[in-house]
Amino acid sequence: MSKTVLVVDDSTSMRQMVSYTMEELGFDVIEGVDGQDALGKVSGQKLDLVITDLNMPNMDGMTLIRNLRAEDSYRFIPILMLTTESQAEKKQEGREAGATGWIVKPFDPEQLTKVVNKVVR
Amino acid sequence: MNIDLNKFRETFFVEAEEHLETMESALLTLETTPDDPELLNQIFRAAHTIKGASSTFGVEEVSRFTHVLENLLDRLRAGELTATPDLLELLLNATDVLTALIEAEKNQTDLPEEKEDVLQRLKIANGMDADHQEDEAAVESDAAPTDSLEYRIKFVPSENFFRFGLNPLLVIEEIDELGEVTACIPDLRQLKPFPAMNAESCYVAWNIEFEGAVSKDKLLEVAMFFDEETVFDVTPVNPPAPEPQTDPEPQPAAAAPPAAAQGEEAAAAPPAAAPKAKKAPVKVKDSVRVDRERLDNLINQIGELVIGTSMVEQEWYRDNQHAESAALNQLGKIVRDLQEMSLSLRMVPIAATFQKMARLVRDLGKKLDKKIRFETEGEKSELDKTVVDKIGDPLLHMVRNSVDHGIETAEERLAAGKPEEGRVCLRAFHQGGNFIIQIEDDGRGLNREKIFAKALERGLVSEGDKLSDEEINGLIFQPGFSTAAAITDVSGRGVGMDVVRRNVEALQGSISVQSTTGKGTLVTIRLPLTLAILDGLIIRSNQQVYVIPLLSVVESICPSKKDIKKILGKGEVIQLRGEVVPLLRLNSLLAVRGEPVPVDTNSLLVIVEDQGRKFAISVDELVGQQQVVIKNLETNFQKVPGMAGATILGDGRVALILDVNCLGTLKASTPSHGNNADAETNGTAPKLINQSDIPETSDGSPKPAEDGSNSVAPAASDLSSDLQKETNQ
Amino acid sequence: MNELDVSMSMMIGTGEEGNQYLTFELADEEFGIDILQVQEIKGLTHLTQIPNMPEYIKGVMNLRGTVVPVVDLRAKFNLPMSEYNQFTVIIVVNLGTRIMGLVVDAVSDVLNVGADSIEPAPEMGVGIDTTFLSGLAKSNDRLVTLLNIEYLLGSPDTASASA
Repeated sequence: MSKTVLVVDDSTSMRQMVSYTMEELGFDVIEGVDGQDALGKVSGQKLDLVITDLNMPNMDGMTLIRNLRAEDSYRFIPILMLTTESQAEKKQEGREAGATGWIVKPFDPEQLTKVVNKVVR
Repeated sequence: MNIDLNKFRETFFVEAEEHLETMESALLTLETTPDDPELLNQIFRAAHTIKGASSTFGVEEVSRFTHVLENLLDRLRAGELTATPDLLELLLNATDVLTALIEAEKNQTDLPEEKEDVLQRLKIANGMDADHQEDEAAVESDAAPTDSLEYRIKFVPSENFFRFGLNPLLVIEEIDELGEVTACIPDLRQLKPFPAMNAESCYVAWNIEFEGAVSKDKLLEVAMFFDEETVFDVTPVNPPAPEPQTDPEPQPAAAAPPAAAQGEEAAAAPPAAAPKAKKAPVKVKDSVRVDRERLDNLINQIGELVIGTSMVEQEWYRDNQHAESAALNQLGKIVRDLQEMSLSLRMVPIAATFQKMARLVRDLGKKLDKKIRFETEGEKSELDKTVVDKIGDPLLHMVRNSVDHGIETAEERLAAGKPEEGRVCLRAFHQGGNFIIQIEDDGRGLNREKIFAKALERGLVSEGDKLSDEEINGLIFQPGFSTAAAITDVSGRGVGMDVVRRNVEALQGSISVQSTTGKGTLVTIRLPLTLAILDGLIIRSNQQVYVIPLLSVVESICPSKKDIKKILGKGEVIQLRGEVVPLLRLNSLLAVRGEPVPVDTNSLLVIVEDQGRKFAISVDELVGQQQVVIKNLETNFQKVPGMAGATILGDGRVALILDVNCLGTLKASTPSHGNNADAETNGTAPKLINQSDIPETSDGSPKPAEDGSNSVAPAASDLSSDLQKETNQ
Repeated sequence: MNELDVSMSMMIGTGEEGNQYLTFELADEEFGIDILQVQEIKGLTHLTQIPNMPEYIKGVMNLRGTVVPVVDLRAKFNLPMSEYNQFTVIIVVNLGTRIMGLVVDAVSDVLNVGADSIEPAPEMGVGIDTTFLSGLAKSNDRLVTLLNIEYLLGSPDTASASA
């Protein structure tokens, strides 16, 4: 009964790193290359966590978060944003879209693990 | 957990290179359409991704550089800056520097010198002071106290707490991990009558007693993600001096742990049972990165499977003369389909290679002050990746030639009545079983006189020699041949057309040149679609088995003696439905040293055609037809004149694959005299046996020029010995 | 054709110092090549002849899917040719970038030779090219001519194409 995480990032290297870390933590990983791709892959799918980048083609992170939150199944799951900007606006906007928390790039697997453990067990 | 980030660095480099290509391509397009917002976004995103990834993977220099670049790009796409030609030039330079930086990081070599300079210019363009440093977000760590302290925590989650995906239970657990939660008392005062409550809202708060050797700030970190309305007050129980707890500022204010309604818990914590992840149908293009070596191994192994299956088929048919095996047929079909599929795995469009040329033409054109328009056709055409990788350099050289030597300056062109802007076109398409690449320009074309003069200088031709256009053009393939008056620093660096031709031939391809003085030049490269597989006709000659590429085979006939005629007492031809086709006796062309050449009296002829030239090849027997895997002779041996490669047949024996095009240039040996000369095989261009004493009755093979073909004969020495013969007469 | 695929591990003795050479016979002479370059030993197998090649290039053979050229050392050294029989073997040498086969009369054994037992190749006078001899090894009453295979096979008329 492992948990499932959705990892969304258009950067392959970042995505791989996050996915690998999550797998090490015992998660099943679904990967998306952008918001649109991610949505396509998870309709009906059970998710326990979402980690998404913000800047992506086709559908950016914010829109993805809003779309996820609009679905009943995903109203309450933790959603983490990957952001390179530590400015307050992004965090605020994310909060308004319904994000749970954020991780600031650059980060390493340790930091990622710490944040993940805050929001999902 | 210790995850080594190095394994992801590799992917980062590959990915960064791709993004840089996108950036460069978009920037070049921007030059013609400066306002396209989508392009600007594309460029920004590419830089942004590189920045994020580079800092994550510890590639500091790249991260720093990209940071400045990204700011500039962001302002550009926001409309705060306009894309002037100068700015675009700067951005292109920045892309170059970035590419060099990535290379340097990858190979651990020195950083490019231009980095600082370009960096400064980027900063200036951005309106920043040249040495403006951005503040990195500092993370302070607090000193952990040594003694255990007591705290009281007031945790009041906002009503919307759940909607952010937060879970009060996890919060309490997190606190507990830092030390020990000695008491946890829910505050249920906000609870309403059930019908009045919203199942998705939080109405419960907690008062927590905590003990642990942690500082207050550490505890406050728990509230990092909380929204402003949530209250999370941490109060040390014992002195030291109590700090006012009223500020929710530093982090989004804490919230009280909601315990209460199990129903809400259930809503917050999704049910445990998780069905195995099922991939939903993919809407965007999905691809998998595969290690190149694995792909090659897979393709090779499948090739071996084809051979193995052939062997089984052969054995079966040997033992069961006329019986059909449905099972074998099925297997054979599956295996051959598999092979086709595996080969297509390595097919990539030639677009990327063409793209590199665009940049070259632009930069070169600028440098030489020439107006040049670069066009491509058929860049979506696909080719085996191994070929694409190797064709890049030859193409580069020829495009350089076109730009440097071919296209004239604007003044020259106008004076010649041509449009001011020169045109260089790269074209790719499939034809027959081949992949054709053409480089065409409307420049000054090849200069017949200059080439002849140079050839004269080098002793390749003599004064009175009369050469056809093809022969003149073919001379440029001689080593070290360049009619450029001065070796410009652009194209002078030692790569001649002979190297280009060698590279093309190493790919089992061929190259030819057509040109009209004053009008332009057209270079055509012909490549096999894939290096690996060939449909072959197996024939026997002189007790040896050979393979003729089926694509080249027109038909096989058994003519009567009277259809075979001698020409000038030397060569033989056959009349085929009104057409006169040269006849080649395979057993004398392919004689093995030291063995006597049997006289060929049979008349089983295979008619082949390649590049417009037809030959009739005399063979002893037609053995059969099958698909063969091409083995490269150069790997362990060398290029063999007249052979395109080798293959391993079903019986495990090696069979040579004939190169139809070159067969015509091999000189035959006389029947029963054996070969008596030393072929110096140094493998670069097909060389000939020196026939110092050819008796009158020998079979000669026709000179390429006689056929009136419009492609150039490849063998340089063939030309020279022919010329020598002419002058000796 | 019988395939004697003799694995090298069976033949290597324990040599503490010096070098090890695989020795073989050719027209009553003993020759040796560095064992590190020897990949395997095969019985004579079908050779596909290659037209228009020097006589010492006997053809190519199929070595588990790879096309490998085979050189007849007798012809290379201009010794009289002999019939191939059941003792004729092919020594497959691996030179890093290329693999080639050498036809010899018979394989002898592995010789451990200390560096002090190797004499440099003597000057034999005009007409005998000794550039590919790396030395003469003395062991008991045997005199083994050590060959520099790379030089021998890398010489211009057997060199591979450089593109």
